[in-house]
Amino acid sequence: MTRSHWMVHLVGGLTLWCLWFVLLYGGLGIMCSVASPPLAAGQWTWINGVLLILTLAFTVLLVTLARWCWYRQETEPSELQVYVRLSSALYGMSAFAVLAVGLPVGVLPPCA
Amino acid sequence: MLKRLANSLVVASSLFLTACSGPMSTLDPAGPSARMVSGLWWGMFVVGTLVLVGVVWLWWHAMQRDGQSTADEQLQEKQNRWVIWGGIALPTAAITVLLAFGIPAGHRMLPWPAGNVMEVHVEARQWYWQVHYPEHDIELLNEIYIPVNTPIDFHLTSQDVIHSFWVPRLGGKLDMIPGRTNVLRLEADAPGTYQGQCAEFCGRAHAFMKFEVIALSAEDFAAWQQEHEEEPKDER
Amino acid sequence: MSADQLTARMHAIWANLPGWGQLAAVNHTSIGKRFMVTGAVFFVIGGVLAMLLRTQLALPMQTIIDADAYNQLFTMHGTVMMFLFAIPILEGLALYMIPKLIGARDLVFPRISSLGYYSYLFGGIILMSSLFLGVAPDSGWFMYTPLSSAEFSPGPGSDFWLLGITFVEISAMAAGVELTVSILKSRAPGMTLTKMPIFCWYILAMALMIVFGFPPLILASILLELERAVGMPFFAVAGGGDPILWQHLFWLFGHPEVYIIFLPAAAVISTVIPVFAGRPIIGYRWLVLAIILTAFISFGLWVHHMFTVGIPQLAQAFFSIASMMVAIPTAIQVFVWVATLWHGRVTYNLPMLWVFGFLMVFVCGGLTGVMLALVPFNWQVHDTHFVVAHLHYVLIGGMLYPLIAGIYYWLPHFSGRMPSLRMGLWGFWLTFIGMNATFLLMHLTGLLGMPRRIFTYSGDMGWSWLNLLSSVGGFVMAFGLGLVILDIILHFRFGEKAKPNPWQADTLEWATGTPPTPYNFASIPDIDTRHPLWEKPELMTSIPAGEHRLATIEHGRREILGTSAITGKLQAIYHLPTNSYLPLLAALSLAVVCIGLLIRVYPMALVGLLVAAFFLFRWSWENGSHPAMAPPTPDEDPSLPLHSRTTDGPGRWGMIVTLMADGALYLALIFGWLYLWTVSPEWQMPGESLLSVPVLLVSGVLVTVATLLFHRLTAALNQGQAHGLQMKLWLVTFVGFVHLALLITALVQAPLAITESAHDAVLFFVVIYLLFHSLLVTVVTALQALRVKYGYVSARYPYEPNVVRPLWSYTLGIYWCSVATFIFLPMVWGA
Repeated sequence: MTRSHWMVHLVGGLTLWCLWFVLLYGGLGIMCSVASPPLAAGQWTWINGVLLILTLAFTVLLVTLARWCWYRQETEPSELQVYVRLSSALYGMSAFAVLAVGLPVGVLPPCA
Repeated sequence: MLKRLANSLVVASSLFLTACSGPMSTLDPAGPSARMVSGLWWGMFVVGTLVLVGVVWLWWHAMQRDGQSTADEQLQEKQNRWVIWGGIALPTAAITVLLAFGIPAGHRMLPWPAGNVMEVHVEARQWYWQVHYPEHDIELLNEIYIPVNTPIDFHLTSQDVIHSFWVPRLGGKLDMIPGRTNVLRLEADAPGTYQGQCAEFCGRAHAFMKFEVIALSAEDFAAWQQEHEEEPKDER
Repeated sequence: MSADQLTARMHAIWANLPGWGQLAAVNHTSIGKRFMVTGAVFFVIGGVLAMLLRTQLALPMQTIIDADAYNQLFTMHGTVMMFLFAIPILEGLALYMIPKLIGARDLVFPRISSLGYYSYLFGGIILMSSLFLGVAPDSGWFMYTPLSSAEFSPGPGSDFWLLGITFVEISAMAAGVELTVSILKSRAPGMTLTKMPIFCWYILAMALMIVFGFPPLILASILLELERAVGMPFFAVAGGGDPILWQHLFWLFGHPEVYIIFLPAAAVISTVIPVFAGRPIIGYRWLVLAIILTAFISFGLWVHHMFTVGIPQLAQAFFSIASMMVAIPTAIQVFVWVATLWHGRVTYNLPMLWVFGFLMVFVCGGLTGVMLALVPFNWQVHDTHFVVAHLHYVLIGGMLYPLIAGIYYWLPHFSGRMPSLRMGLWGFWLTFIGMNATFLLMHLTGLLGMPRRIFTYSGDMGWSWLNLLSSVGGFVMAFGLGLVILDIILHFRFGEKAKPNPWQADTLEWATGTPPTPYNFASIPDIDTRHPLWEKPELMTSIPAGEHRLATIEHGRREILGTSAITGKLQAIYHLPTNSYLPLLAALSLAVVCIGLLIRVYPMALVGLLVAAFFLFRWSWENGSHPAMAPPTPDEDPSLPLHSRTTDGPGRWGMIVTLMADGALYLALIFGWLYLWTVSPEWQMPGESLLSVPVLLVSGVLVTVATLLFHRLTAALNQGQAHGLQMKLWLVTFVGFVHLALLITALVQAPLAITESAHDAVLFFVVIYLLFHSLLVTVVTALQALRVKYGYVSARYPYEPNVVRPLWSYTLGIYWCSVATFIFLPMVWGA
């Protein structure tokens, strides 16, 4: 693997987090403007469902990447190990951030 | 001795209560929304103070002590312990608790459908408030009459710049934005006059853009309504 | 050559010109100091404004200052403190420190430093002049529309803000780009990213945050100015715009901006603590992690400034949780600092006192910040004095205290003299007590319901005693800060002479001399440790003695070492430009543009623009092997070439980072488009494309052809084939011009009602944006062709086409992306 490859991983997790955040917030806005379910429906609407699936998909992806990086530690030259470990931690934290920020999807109604 | 202590406690707590009361005090709630928020505040205040004191004490102690005896081999482990407990676990726990109280509170403040909800429309302009009761065709200026113990949905909009509708003793504020209508659910527990003020900077007379919410008992409100509906409109 | 001769010759090459020639200075030490001094002057002005505000609020129903003046004062207080003090002074510190910390003699784009400074100075003066003319902006530092739009703010106040601030932002963008490239590409050999002083990680993050964070505000300012001046309704509901779009764009910048201010301040803390704890920082990697987390997550918080706008609660919850999560990296840093102190032995002195003050005040501000992130609580205290108290705790605690700690720490470096303890102590305690007296109880003022930005209040609200106390505290604090400033000024005369490396610090800046030489390092050592001066104290003498790299100066060039971004492997010698008046002249012409737009004398603005373009192109001309830069010399070492003899160099990196900023602006534009389309209440989407699709497609094919041709010719050039290079470049230029002509045709033919419809206005703006890039890249290509003719670009000097290459790719990318997003997407989706 090249060195710049690890630079990509260093920012990869949080870039994915940002992307997910844009999809989450933008998607909510667009879905609410297209077909807004009534408030009485509470949090069990199709919009929450879509956002929940999106959140879980990103969490799984980020956890997978974190694990992948973690197991790459041994195979990389020693001067790069620090970036590998940092990348793994950052993927893990991004997964946590996705899950934590996405949590209210199961609690709050979407468009009010 | 005990009596003096009790006396001073009474004085102290009454001082405290006076300090927290006021015509626009969020700490002197008169409705369910404001009460929830004031409860949240006191909880956060206590926990926040504890955290502040704890961190400052740690820091102060760290500056006093001579820690250079720590062997380098132990440091890696120690540093991880500091960061994982103080840097990650502490804020995560605090945030979790906060959200466990905060999100349900916000949930309850939503304008949920209910039987006895009353609708009041408020339009802001530089620098006054036009109030309209759609069900009764009543128009008011800078004052809003509401019945107690009834959820009121305020439909808020603006005709010029952005304003913000705020009656601190009843609940949170909501912006009034040209081109859209926001709905704010408030409720008053007891009859009385509650001051409101524009909270979003709106130009020269922003400081004087005030209004009053007058909560009346059910009977008084019915009487007021009747009186106003009978009045011919063009007299006002 | 003896060490003395070396020093003398180095001085001759690196020193600023004497007398008025100082105006041509490009040296980072000079520019950094100018930024900091100018920032301090603006701080005093902003402080005076604050004292006027506190005087008016001291008692209820006062009439010392009327509503109009008060609105101008608080708007200017916020604007000056944020844009003219906090950001520039920290940029100045970063510009001053970074090369010294990474073992370089200057930043990689010295003329850009100078342009940045003059943009800041002139923009600041233009903005301040509005205050003295009595027409200062008065819609708040956040400039919410429609209050700031032409209808409700008819005077020139808002224009002063929009144009002045945009001008000032050139300096931030300049600093963002050159700090990024300098940190990545000009470190001492062997200094890998993880061997950098932690300060550099913070500044790298700050610089990249500027690159991505400022463009949304620049875009918003341009759009609002267009709305005010031309009537394009981007934010007006009646024309299909939306005032909330302004808030989104403003806070999309505004929240990262808080961390742009905090990160360099935390950098100071992380630098000062290990030195006075007498041990390396504990948890360097944790800090790096925290820095990266902060830099990203701070871009996902902006809506917490907009919780009362009426956005769905679910969306608010996302931002609420993200806002709270930023407490995690902050807490990591706090505990890293505590751990370092815990396992060290602390020496007490003035910088540490300010560090301690920082901790108390900043932690308090951070805690109220977490509270404010809780949505229901925010609904109550938003736009009250609780928020005023919170933000002053965060900004004073998180920026001013560390800044003063840093200034005291580096005073011996600036002046060669030590700070005095006695006056400094008084300054600290008065500031600390005054600050808490002002703002601690202001939390309560807010909880008791006092809104922000009201110029007076009635006496029966229960706010009177709190306000009086805050005002008294404010004056105590002002007095304390006055003492600090006086102390610093007096120390230049009365301070005790400093010994070399007076605090026994570990980082390289102390090896540049106290005060530093203009070239920092007479020779550049290889660095393989985070603590060079602790582990190799002999560097203090061996560097000035010329025992390391690059100790030759006979060629008369300003040279630094170019290294690889991650591993710090030596790659090339970067030759830097010497003193130049071009940045000053360019900034002066831009000031003419700014004033022309302000007084709406558009021919004047146009002339200014053309003159500015002339100076900027002249600047780009004096590059590479041009006689004013690095003409060929006989003794060039092919194993360590000058960068203009290679295919990679700082300019290419600078181009890429600039395009990242440009891309951020473009993304903000797309966000605005999609936002208005989906959210704006009166938005009208026409049934079919207003721009001729066939013309757009042909024009697009041409820009594609031009880009491909350019890529092929650069690839060939990099292989050493320069046959017919000039002709090929002229061909690309020609294709570019035809593409441009077609695009202009499409625009002129389109029936756009730009003052009636937000849709048409956005479309018009997009086409202008594309035209600007196409024109720029075409003209630059023409200049390259000319440079081939003069022999500045050839098989031996293949560098510059490699710099231009990413610009072609970008132009191509935005063209097709725009056609897809602004033309095809609405056609496919349906109006």
